[in-house]
Amino acid sequence: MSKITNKQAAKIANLARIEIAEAEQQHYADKLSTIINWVESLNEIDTENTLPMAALEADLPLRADEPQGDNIVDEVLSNAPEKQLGFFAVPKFVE
Amino acid sequence: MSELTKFTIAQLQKKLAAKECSAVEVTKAYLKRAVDLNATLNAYVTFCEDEALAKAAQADQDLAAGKATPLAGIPIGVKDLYCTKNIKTTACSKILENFVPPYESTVTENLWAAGALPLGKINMDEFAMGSTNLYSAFGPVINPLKRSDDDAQLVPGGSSGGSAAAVAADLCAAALGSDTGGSIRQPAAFNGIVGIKPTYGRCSRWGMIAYASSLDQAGPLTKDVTDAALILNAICGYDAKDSTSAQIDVPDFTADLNKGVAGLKIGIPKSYQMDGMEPAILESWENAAKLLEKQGAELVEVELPLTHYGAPAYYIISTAEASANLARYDGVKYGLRVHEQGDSLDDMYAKTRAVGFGEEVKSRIMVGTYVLSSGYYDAYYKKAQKVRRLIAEDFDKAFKQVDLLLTPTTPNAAFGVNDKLSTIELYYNDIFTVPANLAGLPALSLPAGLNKDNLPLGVQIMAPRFAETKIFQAARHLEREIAFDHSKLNYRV
Repeated sequence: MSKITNKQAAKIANLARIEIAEAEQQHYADKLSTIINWVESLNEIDTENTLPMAALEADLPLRADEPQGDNIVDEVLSNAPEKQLGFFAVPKFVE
Repeated sequence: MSELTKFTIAQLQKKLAAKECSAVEVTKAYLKRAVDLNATLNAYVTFCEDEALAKAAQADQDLAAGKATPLAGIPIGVKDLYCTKNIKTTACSKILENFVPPYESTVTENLWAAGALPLGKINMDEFAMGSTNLYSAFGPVINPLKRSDDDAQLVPGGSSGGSAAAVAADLCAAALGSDTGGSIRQPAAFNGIVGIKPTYGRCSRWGMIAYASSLDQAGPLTKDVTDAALILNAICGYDAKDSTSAQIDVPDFTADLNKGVAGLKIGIPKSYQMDGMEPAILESWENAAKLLEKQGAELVEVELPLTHYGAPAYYIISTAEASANLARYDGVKYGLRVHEQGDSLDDMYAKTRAVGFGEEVKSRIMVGTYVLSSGYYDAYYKKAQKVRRLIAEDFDKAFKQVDLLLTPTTPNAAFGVNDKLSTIELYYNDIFTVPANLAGLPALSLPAGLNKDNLPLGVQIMAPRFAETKIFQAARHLEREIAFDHSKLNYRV
């Protein structure tokens, strides 16, 4: 039985960049514990000699990496919460 | 006017061609009904009245000029995870509440090229995560059906619950859904309609807001089997913009609709019989099998021993992929930004995502983050990928013996909006539908019977990859033989 602690839940939330309040930690710890315990039923299956299946196609076709389309800067920026001089703008993060 | 919303696509095509009605009349009838009933069902989140009527007028011109495309003037409801150019697209999440895509998804572009028109964008579980439609930022969709002996609001299923409710209540001629673990087939079953998830790779995922990329696939929800084939004819096809798009010819999916089932081998997997399942589900499944056998199909018992492990494998793989796919919602490029004076960039990410995502989406991102994290990757993610291979191999073995598989679509009928189901009980809703996603198989659900509360139950037909035509062949036959009587259902609208 795996048990996700409140501290682990807080760590996972931080890795996922989702702020959770201290009061929410218990809820997510419990829910994650339930789900993780449930998926551990997979350990009943012998997969010793099985390769993981990452994609349905054994090999995906490659294509040439060439620029396509016209200048679409305005379209790309059209939904940006904040933009400046043709760029996405974010809070200052280098001192 | 309202009569116009009763017709199937195939019937509408005939009426439009014979000038018995115009596309504008049909579109107005649908818009009126959809707008009027939205307060009750909450199926639509955005209406596209102007686009719909403009395209309808164009369709009428094309019809008059004798140059109509296959779906000219057919009004469609579009699940709100297809990017539609200049029309708000939210995935029913607060984090995308003001997102207006500057481009069109390939699937919708294909539909409009075939002459169909968008009535509006349809409600869904946030980012397609859910099987109830209770997880939409725009509030739950209500199933247009109710039990025979009470008035309780029922869930329409999910995540394409709005699409299913809209089709079942005649709020559109057909709807687009998407299916990652059963999100087309389970709501189709809960609403007494038809839904198909085609083979992975048949429909381009370009412009479909991603949940779990190795499992997501587009598909239609329709009033009958023929309509599903007609929509699929329009939306499938290779697209260079999706690296997993299949480079394979698209057949005419209507070709074998009336071929009958003589000589087909139908596999019946015993593992789809679960303890505690309603007897009516077994009865409708057995009845469907007998109806196929009666007309010359051969029934074969097959082994799919890992069926019950599909759902846990799915929840590892889908959440892992979701945690990566949804990393893009960070308050920088589009969507919501939550930022207070003095916040760092990381603070902005974390606050934006805390406010923008709903509880179920946060939970799944966190599960995905956990199973991919250092020290747990092999134990969970890799393990699930191995089980995925074993499940796919079991299907390969089964399809060496049989042409198609017949199963129930869900282990239960629609339940109440206020029923308190545990997380795991909810996840088990997908137990019969998830395996087809893991193996990339096409699968269709059609109404096959009623439970004791007079709610519809579905059966599912699965085929080897790219064998949709055979599914349609058997499904159309079953549809004719079952003769499901929708007038026996209890509609709340």
